[in-house]
Parts: sequence; C-alpha cells; structure tokens
Amino acid sequence: MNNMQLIANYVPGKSFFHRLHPSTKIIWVLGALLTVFFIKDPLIIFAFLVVVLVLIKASNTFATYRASLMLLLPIIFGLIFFQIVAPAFPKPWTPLARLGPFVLYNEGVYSALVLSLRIISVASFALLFIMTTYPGDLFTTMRMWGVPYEISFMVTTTIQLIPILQKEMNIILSAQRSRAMQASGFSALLPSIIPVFAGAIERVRQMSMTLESRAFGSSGKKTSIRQLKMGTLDYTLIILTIIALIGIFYLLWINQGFDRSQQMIFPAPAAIILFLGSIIGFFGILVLFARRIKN
Amino acid sequence: MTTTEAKLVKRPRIPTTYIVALIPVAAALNIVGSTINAALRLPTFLDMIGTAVVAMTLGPWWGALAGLITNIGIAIIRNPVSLPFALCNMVGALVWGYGIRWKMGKSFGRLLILSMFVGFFVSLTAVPIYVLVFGGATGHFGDMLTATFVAMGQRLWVSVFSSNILVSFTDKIISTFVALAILGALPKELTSHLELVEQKNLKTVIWITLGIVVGIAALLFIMFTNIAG
Amino acid sequence: MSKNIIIKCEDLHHTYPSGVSALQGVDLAIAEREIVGVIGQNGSGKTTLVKHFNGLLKPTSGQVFVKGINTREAEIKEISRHAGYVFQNPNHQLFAGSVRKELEFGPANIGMSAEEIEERVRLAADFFGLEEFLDENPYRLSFPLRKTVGIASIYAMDPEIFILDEPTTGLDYTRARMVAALIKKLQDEGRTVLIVSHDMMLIAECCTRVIVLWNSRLIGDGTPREIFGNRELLEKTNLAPPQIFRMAEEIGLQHNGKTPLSVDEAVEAVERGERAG
Repeated sequence: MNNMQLIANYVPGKSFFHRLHPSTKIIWVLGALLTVFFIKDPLIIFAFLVVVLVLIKASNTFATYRASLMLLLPIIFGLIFFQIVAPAFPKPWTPLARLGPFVLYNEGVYSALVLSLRIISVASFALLFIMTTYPGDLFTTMRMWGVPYEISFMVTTTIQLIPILQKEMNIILSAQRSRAMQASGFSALLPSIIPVFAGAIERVRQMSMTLESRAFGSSGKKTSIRQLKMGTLDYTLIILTIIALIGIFYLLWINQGFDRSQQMIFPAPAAIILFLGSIIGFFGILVLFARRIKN
Repeated sequence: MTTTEAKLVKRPRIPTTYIVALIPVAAALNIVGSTINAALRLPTFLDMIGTAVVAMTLGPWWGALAGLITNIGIAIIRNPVSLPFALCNMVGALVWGYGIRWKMGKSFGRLLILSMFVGFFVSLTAVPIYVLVFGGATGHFGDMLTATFVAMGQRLWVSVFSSNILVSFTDKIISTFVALAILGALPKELTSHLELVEQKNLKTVIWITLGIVVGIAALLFIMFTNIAG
Repeated sequence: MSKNIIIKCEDLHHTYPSGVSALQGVDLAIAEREIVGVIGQNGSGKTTLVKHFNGLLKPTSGQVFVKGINTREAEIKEISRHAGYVFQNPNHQLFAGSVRKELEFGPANIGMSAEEIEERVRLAADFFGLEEFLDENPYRLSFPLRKTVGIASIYAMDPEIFILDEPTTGLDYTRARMVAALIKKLQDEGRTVLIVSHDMMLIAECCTRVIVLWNSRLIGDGTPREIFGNRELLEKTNLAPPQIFRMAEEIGLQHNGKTPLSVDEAVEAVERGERAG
C-alpha cells in the first residue's frame, strides 16, 4: 500500500551535506527555522528556498524529497485559501476582489505567500537534513547532546516497528475480509484494529525479556560501533553559523522582518487565480491520495 | 484487604524493560492506527490510540512520552513539519492518564465526558499551531468546515477552533472506546489495576458521537448566524 | 464417477505490484469433496495460488472460477460465502470480546438471520468442542485453542470450500492429530478442503490429492502416494516425504500392495507381514 512513505527518508550518499556532522546540520536547521519565521518578505524566503533546492539537487536526494513534500500539499492549499480571505495581519486589509461570501485581500495574498514559502522552505531544509543523515548517527548525536539512551532506543525501535506492524495490518485486513468484513466504514474498525494492537503488545513481553537478557539499562558508558567525530570543518561552520545568525537577527530587528505587505500590491486577477487554484488543488490532491490508498 | 495488598492492586510494578518495549510499540501503533483509518476510509484520525492505551495502563506521563516518541518518529520517516504536534499528543495522554486515575473510566457517562475533555484540550493545543504556523489549514476535509465558518463572517481562529473541536470530539470519543476494547484483549497484568466500565458496543458509541457532534455543530451555526446577523 | 468441478484455474498468472511474478500459468481443476494438499517450498507460490480461491488476490491474467463465479467479477465478501480461508496465525483475526461473538462475526457479515447465526454458532462450537469457552475472551485462551477458534469462525460461515493455511503450525503432536481428525470430519460433511502445509504427515494422512508448486509453476499433481513416491520431483523441489513413508519404502513395507502413508497403515502392514515382493 503506502510502504514507500514509511521507509525512513535517509538516502545514502557521499555529498557535502552527507559528510557534515549531524550537530552542525541540526544547528543549521534550527537557525534556518528561527530566521525564516521572523522574515516577512516572501522574496527573501523564496531565495532561501532556491538555495535549499540547489543543495537538495546537489546531494542527489530530489526524488525522495519530492515524494515527501507531496504530503504537505493539502495543508499548503488550505493555507493559501484561508490566508487570502483572512490574513495573519492586523486590520485594515485592502480588498482586491469579491467571490461569493469571500473577500480576497491584498494582505491575504501577501501572507499566503509568506506562510506557504515559510513552511515549504523549513520543511525542505529539515528534509535535506533527514535525508542526508544516517539515522544511527542521529541517535549517537542525540546521546552526545545528553538525550538519555532510552529515548533514542525507543525512537529507533518505533521506526523499525512501523513497517513490521504495517505488514501485520495488511495480513489482518486480508484475514478479516476473508470473513466477509466490510471493506470500509466503522463496522470494520474493531476487527481490524484489535488484532494489530493485541498482537503488537504480545510482542512487548518478548522484547522486554530480550532487553533484560542483554542487560538493558545497566550503568556504565555505552560504546558505539559507528564512530562520529566533529571535524575542523564542523567547528568552523558552527562558529560561522552563529556569527551569521547574530548578524541576520540584527538586520531583521532593525528592518522589522522586512515587512513589505504595504508596498507589494497584487493585481486582483492574480488573487482570484491563486484563490481558485487553492480550492482545485486541495480537492485534487485529496482525491489523488484517496485513490492511492485504494490501490 | 491490608494496605499492602491495596497498594499492589493499585499500581502493579511493571519492569522498566517492559515499559521501554511498550512505548515504541504504542508509538508505532499510533502511526498504524492512522493507516488503518485511511484504509477503512473513516472520517477520523485514530492516530493517538497507542498513546491512549499507554496513558491508561502505565499512567499519564508514560503516555506523554509515547506521544512525543510518535511525533519524533513521524518527523524522521515522513515529514519534520509534524514535530510541533507532539505537544497535542502529549496533552491528550495527560488528560487520558489523569482522567482514568481520577476514576473517570468507571462508568460509560464518565468515560464519554473524559473523552470530550481529551478532545477539548487537544484542540486547545492544536489550534494555535494550525493558525500561527499553517495559516489555519489542517490539510483535511475539516478545512471545508472552517471555510464555511469563515464565509459566515467568523474570524479565522474562531473558525479553526470551531471546526477543530468537532473533528476532535469525533476522533477522541471513538479513540477512547476503541482503546477500551483493546484493553480487553491485553494481558491481565496490564489492566487489572484499572477501574474501567465494561466494553460498549461501538455502534452505540458512534451514534452517540454523531448526536453530540451534530448538536454542537447546529449550536455553532445558530450562534454564528445570529452574531453575523 | 461424474465429478463436479468446484474450483477452476485457467492459465492463471499473478505478478505482485513489486514486479515479483508469483504464478506463471497455472491450470487446475478441483472437484467437490476433494482434499487437496498444496505443497512446495517457501516462495514457490502456494499461498499466492490459494489466495485466488476466495478472491483475496485477483489474477493478473487468466481466470479463476469458484463455484462458477469468476473471481474477477465478484467481491471477496461474495466469494467468502463459498470459500472460507483460515489464516495461519489466529491472532490475525481474533478481535471480539468473547468466542461466541467471534463465531458470530462471519455469519453476520454474509447476512445470515439471527436464528441461522445462533444455529451455526451452536454447530461450530459442537464440531470443534468449544462449548465451554463460548463466553471467554479469545485472547485469554491458549494458542492451540485460539487456532481452533480461528477454524471454527470460518466453519460458522458454512462454506463448501475450506482453505487451511498451515493448520498445524504451532501445535503439539496431539493437537496436530486433532486437526487431521477435523479435516476428515469436514470431508465427511461433503466439503472440499485445500491444505497449504509443510506438515507432510498431515498431507499424507488427510489428502486425496497433492499438488506441487515450484518456482511459480504447478509441476506435480497426483495422489499422495504418487507424489511422495516420485523421487525426482521431490528432489527438484527439495521436499521430503513423511518419515513413515520413507522408512516403509526403504524396508519395502506394503499395505494393500502400496507403500503405507500413515503410521496406522504401517502398523497394519507390519502386523500382516506384507512386503514388496
């Protein structure tokens, strides 16, 4: 069914981004997140997005990226729709056009652009990080940063369990359909969900015993097969990033986030096209998803 | 019953390794729950049932941990944008967990109220995220309801909260009773300390949910029409 | 003897969405009341084949008819009235709060009336000896009992065809013998049974016919004696006949002029002192 989505997004490779230490990348993602959330100029965010896209292309992760970004589309379309008619800006708003009960505002088009570009660019950058970081390294880094081993163990186990339970679920759905269960609707809910849960939780006892026998939770420093080292490059980059962030925030502060909502005037037809496009896009993508689930 | 016995009945000592194994299973089940929801084409989410089961059996904070782990997992395998919703999952766990501890599971009516509390608090956490980060969109069919409220002249956050609470009530009431049915199939040592009402026919629960949600929706519509007029 | 064909495959091909070709041109006709063993190594296509018989899988090309219904044109719900599929692991289907509710699920889904359902549940409980467990939660029962409940839940739907996937896996010797006895009882009731199994003893004991799958193709079809006596076929498919059959063959033990298939036959043969001459 949708197993493709469930495999971890890591794409093996040897690009520049792949070789960076996860810590460096995490600081970049956090930095980008903070910056992008305070910038109010869609053009600057768009420029940032272009840079991220170039990096994604350069690290050979574009195919995975595209599939993952698809999941965001319904929310982006919804966002454009709501922002055009109810902008996230203080009133008064400048009306551009009227469609039935909805008034389309200039500030709305502006904030639709800002918010959607914001989400897409942050998601893209975060995906780039996920796609180029071996999950094991991520957990090693989490421990380096003081996150308890138990937590990273639980996250790893969750990720490994998902495809297993997904497969179980498919068998269970087949088994119940063989008993003439309805293919959809609430009457099929308990017959489908209880065997999955009960079976999975029975597994817990075995897992628990396995952990016990491997001395889980014993004190002492844990060692790791994969060695991760922060290189000179990583330290240099982290320091540069911090300096850059301070500079960026100073600029943002004195320019009030580069808010250009009062200068940018959009033509009414553009607002109408964007508005109608968001409705078509929203339903189109939901129908597409529903079809994919069916097959 | 002596005091020691009473204590034993109240909180079974569950080994740490059991907890460490149960939490990822519950987190994975949250994700599988939403896949089942999609496969059966239901109008709900059912993405917190694992959380509910852990919160009810092990307690609120273990449930919250399961919720957190779920969203970290989703962030890694699917999309990092879902990370802020970890907060909703954790809030849901706390309400479920403390609710059951405070004997809100003892009767059908109490459990119904508890599940509505869960829905309310989850909405209360989710709506600010939806409005501030996602401009009011959720990416689900519930957005159509939000759009209707906006069309009726409501402010965006009021519209989002109104549509979200309806979706949330539906989802959390059904999730709670599905979790109750699941508890019935779990090993006794996990559930023996809980004071829980007998399993209820899910069909009844769905009709009651429908009644509640349609009632609230009607109330909202009347309210909004009057305010607008 | 005129035979009523109940399952028919014509040039059945199945390719999974992943591109793996699991069946390549299977032609097969199964008559009413036959007890057919489906054997082959893991990945040979046996489960894929039988999943076509209740519509869980649809042919990529070719046709499958079950009781004259073309499975392409019918939903699983419709076919499952005639062909009941018992999954290997009972935990994959048990969900109800009690064994009784579990048994009621299938019959209710195919639209039986309340009286019919009650009657079928009573018959199933009686047939499988589950009366005393009817009000228990199936998850509180032992694994072999759960497995019995799994078969009984299909029996309650009263299908003419039974498809059993590894019915003896996870059962001890005594329980496995009970399954063999149940299959014979199903045969006595005039039902058709398909058994997918690695348990050659069960196959030898119960089946009237054995089909062998290898590399997505049907390469053997005959009585258990013919199949287990075919060294070349077994070597090719890496299957071993039941130990009692092998031993009897080695020492030339004969039962009514044939190599004994079961321990009972072998014992009789020894008592009569019958040998290959």
